[in-house]
Amino acid sequence: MSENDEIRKSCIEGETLVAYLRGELDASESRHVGTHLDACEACRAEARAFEAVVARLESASEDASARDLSADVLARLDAKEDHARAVARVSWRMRASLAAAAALLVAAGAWVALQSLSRESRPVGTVPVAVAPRDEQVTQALKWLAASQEADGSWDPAKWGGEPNYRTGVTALALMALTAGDGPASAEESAAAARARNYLLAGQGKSGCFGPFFSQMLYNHGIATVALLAEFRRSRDASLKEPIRRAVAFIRSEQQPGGGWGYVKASANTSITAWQVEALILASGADWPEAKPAADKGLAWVESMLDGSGRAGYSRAGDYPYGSGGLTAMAAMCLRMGGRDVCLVSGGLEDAAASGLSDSDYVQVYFLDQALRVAGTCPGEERLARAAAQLRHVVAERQVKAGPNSGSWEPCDRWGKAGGRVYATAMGALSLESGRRPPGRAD
Amino acid sequence: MARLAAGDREALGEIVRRHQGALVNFFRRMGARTHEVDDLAQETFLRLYEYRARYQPTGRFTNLLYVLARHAWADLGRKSLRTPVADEEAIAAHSVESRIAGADAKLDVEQALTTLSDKLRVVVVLNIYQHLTYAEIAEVLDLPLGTVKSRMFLALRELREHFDVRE
Repeated sequence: MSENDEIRKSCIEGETLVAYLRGELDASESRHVGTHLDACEACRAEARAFEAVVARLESASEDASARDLSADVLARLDAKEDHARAVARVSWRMRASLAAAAALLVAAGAWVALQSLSRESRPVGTVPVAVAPRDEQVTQALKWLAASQEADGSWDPAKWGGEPNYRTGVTALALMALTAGDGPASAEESAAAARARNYLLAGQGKSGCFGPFFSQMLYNHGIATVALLAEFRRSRDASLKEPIRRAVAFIRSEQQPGGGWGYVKASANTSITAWQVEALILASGADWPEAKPAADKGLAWVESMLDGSGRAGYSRAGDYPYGSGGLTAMAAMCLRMGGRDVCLVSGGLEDAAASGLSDSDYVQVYFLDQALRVAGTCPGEERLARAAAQLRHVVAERQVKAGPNSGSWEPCDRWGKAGGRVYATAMGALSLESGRRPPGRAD
Repeated sequence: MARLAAGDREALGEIVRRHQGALVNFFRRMGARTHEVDDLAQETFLRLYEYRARYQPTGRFTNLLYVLARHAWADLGRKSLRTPVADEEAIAAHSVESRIAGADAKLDVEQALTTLSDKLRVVVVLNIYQHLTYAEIAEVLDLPLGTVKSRMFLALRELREHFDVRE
């Protein structure tokens, strides 16, 4: 055996060689490796190659400067502690009764229970659920909305980065934001809400449809119906009854034989269906019991969209052309509000909560919040609530803090091109408003 | 940290200011998207605040911070089932900066890091950029020292192949 063969026999293993280069060997090991490298050309070549990799990595070691995060961290801490205090103020008796209502929801199919929960939010006999004071960020958002309203009471999405066809839809979203929670908090907000409501009512056609006839009209119509139902529940204004009846009739007339809703002359999809089902559930829980059969059929269609892991598809189970997070949040809201098996989607809902964080889909956050309004008893419920709270923090941080659009949100999520800044701002305000109330309350 | 354990919120502010740079750069190199980086750093500090009562000053404070950062990162990854990709926002920004000398090399390295699995990348990031020793990395990742040694080697071997192929 030659001298070179002898040296190679004792060649250094890669792990040890790298540890040597990183200064991780003790003195005796280090001496041993050093001596071997002096004698072994092959190991020296290995060492040089690894050194080159390390040098290359280190060439990119310049740190990016970080902005001061301390104010944000302390603000988030305040928000968390405020929320914890608010929840703690809810008496155990109240929590027990909510849990009982939730159990009833699951056990009995629970349409009646949902109705009673819905009515708890009416002005008379309001249940004393702890609610934090309205966030200043919401007030700023509503101020921006009020200032950007058109003279006719609408919001023009085309002026704010959206598509003109969705004028009715974004106006309805803005109305929902203005009347969320305890309703308008100032004369300015109240006047803006009244103008928006009148605009929507004036735009209802003979068919009962809100807004113009076009392929995606059911987005406009579904959102407008939801907004007016929320307004009715808050105000009990009898003049809204007939327009809502006609709106519900239009949704029923547009339901496809399979139970879902879609674009004109196209297959049903979960996204459009969710808004119609939300409207029907709210309507049947209020003064329009005729909405219930269509809601049930819609819920069955939504259930048929679920795959084995609880994720909802777009137009069939397993179909996720735009990801499953938003669709699953929509399905979860429908099924939970409709008193269906709320655990059916809990796995998918956790994914939805998580993917919302990276995709920043405001619609997804909205539906997730709506889903969590209904108390659930599935495993992972607390994780879901935490994830939803985290999503709201992400949304909150994206509000424009200065400049002419201060108080609004950039339309930077996947729906931003359709709805523009008005949509993004209304959704942002709705999300923050939702965070004021402890989860587990249907309203 | 003793002040924080006693509930002194101003102490949290001081800790944030002192360590925010290290955390932001840790998450950036782990492959977080630009808009996620600040959120992950903030989340880590909030977790530190929650942990304050259980803190035992037996090891380096920064090791605890990286343990919490690793958990925040793992939670995000687990929930979103995301695979690391070169940050589109960073790449977009880079196209503007590409005339600046050295920017290409930096982006090459960042892209190379995204080709590593999460478990290999974290060892490289903690050792090369955050300057943790193998023993400290073992503590942060809750791994045997030998595993850290082996993962560091595997990571550098993969990066070497990656760079060789590209040249």
